[in-house]
Amino acid sequence: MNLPLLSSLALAAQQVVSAPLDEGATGTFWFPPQASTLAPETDWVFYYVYWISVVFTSIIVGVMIFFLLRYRHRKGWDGEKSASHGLALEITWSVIPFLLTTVMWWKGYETFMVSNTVPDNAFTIQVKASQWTWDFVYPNGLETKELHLPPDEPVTFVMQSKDVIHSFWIPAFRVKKDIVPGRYTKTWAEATEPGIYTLFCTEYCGMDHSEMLTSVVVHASQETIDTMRAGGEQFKYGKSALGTSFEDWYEAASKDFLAKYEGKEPWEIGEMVYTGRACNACHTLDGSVLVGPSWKGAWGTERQLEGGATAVFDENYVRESIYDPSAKIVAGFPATMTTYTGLVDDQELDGLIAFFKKLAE
Amino acid sequence: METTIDHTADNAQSDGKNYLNQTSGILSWIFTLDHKRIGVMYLVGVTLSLLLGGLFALLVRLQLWSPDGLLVDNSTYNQFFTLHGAVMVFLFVIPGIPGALGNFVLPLMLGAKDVAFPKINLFSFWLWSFGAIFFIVTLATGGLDTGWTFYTPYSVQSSTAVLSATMGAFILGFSSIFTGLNFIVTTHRMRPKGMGWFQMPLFIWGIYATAIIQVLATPVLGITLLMLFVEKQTGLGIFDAAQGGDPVLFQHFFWFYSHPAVYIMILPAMAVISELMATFSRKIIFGYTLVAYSSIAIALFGFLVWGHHMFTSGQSAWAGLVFSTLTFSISIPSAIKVFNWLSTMYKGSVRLDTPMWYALAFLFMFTIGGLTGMFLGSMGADVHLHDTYFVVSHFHYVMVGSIMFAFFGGVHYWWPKMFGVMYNKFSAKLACALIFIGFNTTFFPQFMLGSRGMPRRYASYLPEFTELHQVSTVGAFILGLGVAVAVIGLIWSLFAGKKAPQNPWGGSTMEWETATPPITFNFNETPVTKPIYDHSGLVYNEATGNWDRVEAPSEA
Ligand code: HEC
Ligand SMILES: [Cu+2]
Ligand SMILES: [Cu+2]
Repeated sequence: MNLPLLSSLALAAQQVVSAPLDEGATGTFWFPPQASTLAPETDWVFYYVYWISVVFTSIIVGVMIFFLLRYRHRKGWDGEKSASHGLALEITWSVIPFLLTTVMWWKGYETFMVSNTVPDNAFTIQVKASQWTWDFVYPNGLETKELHLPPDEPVTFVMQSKDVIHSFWIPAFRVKKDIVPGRYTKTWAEATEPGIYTLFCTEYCGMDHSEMLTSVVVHASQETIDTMRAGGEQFKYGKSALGTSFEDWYEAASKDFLAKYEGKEPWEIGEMVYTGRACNACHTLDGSVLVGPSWKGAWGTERQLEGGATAVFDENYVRESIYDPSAKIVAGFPATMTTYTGLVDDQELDGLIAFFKKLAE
Repeated sequence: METTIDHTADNAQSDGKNYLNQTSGILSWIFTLDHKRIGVMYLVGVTLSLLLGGLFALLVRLQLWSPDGLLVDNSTYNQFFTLHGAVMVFLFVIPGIPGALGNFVLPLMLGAKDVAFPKINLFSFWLWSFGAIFFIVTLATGGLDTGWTFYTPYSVQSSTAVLSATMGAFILGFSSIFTGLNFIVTTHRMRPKGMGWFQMPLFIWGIYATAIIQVLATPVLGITLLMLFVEKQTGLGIFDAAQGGDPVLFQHFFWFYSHPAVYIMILPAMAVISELMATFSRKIIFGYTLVAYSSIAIALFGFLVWGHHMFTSGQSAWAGLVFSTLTFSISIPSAIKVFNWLSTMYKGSVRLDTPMWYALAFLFMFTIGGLTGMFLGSMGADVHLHDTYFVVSHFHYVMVGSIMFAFFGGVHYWWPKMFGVMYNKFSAKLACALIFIGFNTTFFPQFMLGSRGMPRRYASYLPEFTELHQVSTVGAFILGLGVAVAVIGLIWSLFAGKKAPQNPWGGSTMEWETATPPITFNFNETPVTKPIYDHSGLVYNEATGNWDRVEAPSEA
């Protein structure tokens, strides 16, 4: 059963909005469901600290209340002389917390090392973060906006940011790592529970930081799907992409993706880039101004640049604006556009140029 | 037999003249060198800042009433939370207790006439005012949307008023440095005869430890902000990866100051609590020496833990381990303090006046704030919790639950001495209760939000978080109401309050030996140092509401 990329994405997105978690995988009072191998370990550390906290808070509040009842100034009670310090007591309440925190510290470190030690030769997905979208690039070049993962297999994420610092967080996996411009950061996860989860950006990255989230689809294994089918059972995961194994999805999506420009007019390709690369976050087509200038009727016009010079909006200008945006800054606009080198290829650039021409017609 | 001792009475003489009415006119305040007047001006300034920051907090909470954001668009929301954080941190929490209470109380506690450098003290207040004005300018000229942390490269890119805000923070930093310098020298040079280091009230120990951090750490913030300033103006490429800089370097610099700054904030709060626990339990603080040393230990360790803000930033695992170790080490002196405060009540004669309400609330919330810090110090749990509402809640338990409570506790404690009036006890306790309930209703749900998956600094959120956010918003308004009741109650007392006696709480430290309000030069004659926190010579006088000092009954 092969669902085409777009409809699977639409379904996934729909599911995230209406029912964020698939049946079966439910959270607890403190946590979202455990959907990775790391989750139980992280939660162990959390609960260890948690129960110590509960006990200590109870003791402190209990003693406080007892002292208040017992030693409150009232008729017949005006305090009594007592020791002003006590070495044994003070050593006790220094040493006990010390021992307890030593365990926290060490277990915390061990768990951290699990998430920090990226396995060799794992299936690798490139994560590209930019204001304010996620792009996932799979080994064969397939690019998606949602993250698809196989179950029970470690996957490495090699992450880069195009602009500012972002952070990659999947609460159900308990995985988090900052994505810092100018370097690669890595993390990994092994998903255990098929389902649809949310991936958030957790490092503040400007205006639409709170909209920089997407879904993570953990597929069921072919085996699970077959067994269910054979048993005449309803698909546990309903109509969603989860009813497809990761391998089937990957194959179908790749075919669609690699053929996405087939039979398209150049200007149509340009239009796809305009939305697909989120140029529309900053540029409009109707003359209104967002972050950058509108593209309405831009082609062939003379642009007033910062510093007094002018430039004609032609092929070279477009190329330069996309690959080296700080070379010429349009007067009155901030130099916030970042380079698309490596993100917009030649075919797409030609498409954009055709699209600009079309817009000026 | 009990007989009244003369020299205390001398210092209580004021023949109607005091520091408030000695001279008058606005200029006599702006150019005053009197530490008490400077303290009062700080008190007004930081309280206004608290209200302004609080206003932004309420706007933030209103926005989060609904998943799509109730009030404004994303950019405006980003400004709300940034201005809330920046105003609260730089204008209220950092300068609050040292500026207002430290200035007023420190010289009095030392039996001194003023701080060591009165002119620098005034200058430091002026700097604070200029810095504050820069912040207001920021508000008026396009806001600020970088978060109070100014993380690069976003702050380099942002088109909001980053320059004026960093200038403001830079100037405020100098104010903080000068205050610290002044307090260090005052503590070293102006102790009265007979007061060795270990006869000093713990308030002074706390302020002194704070001052050390202020002097050593704040310059780093200044330099960092200056570099950011240059980066933004010239694109030099220090922090911006696009120019070959390193954005994480900024985080190291920033937290090298800003973690110690957490102790700049909390040590004075602890200092206040030590005074309150001693006075209202009528006991010496249990394990006084250890509490004093723990302040210094916290101050020094505080310099070495900044990297715990960066466990997920890609710093090396080895660095993470070191920072985690040091972070846990610093938790021990903090825990010791809590146990010692608690034990102080043992066999004491505990009186539940308003300041003690605040002190006990502090103990509870500092415990929660501290323990939730353990989750974050433990690297494995921090990976999940970092940059979520769990963190937001944790540091609010420390900054509001602990520091603001200590601030209010201290203000209610010294208010009669400052202004010579008693506030209405009922409204003051009502305010404390409202703030306590409001605070916990606001922030407890945020722990759950965070661990369940709600990132911080979000203008909108997934529908599953709606209920917890709404509870939190309701709490925030109760909290706001409580603060309003507290502030109005205090102001009201200035006009309608009963005249305060010289020593309404039975405090044993020197500030209670002056007249109420104190005369301009504090003491007619230098008070005699008594054993620290010895309450035995103080006896409550039903008729006057004062604790009269009598000759200590001979121990036999
Ligand atoms: C973060 C906002 C942002 C995004 C996203 C963005 N741009 Fe820009 N862009 C700007 C700004 C601001 C300017 C004007 C300043 C300058 O010249 O660099 C600009 C200028 C331009 C110009 C010159 C425009 C003129 O009117 O002279 C072109 C061409 C351009 N962008 C193309 C693109 C393309 C193609 C994309 C998507 C692949 C894109 N931009 C995405 C912000 C953005
Ligand atoms: Cu973000
Ligand atoms: Cu810290």
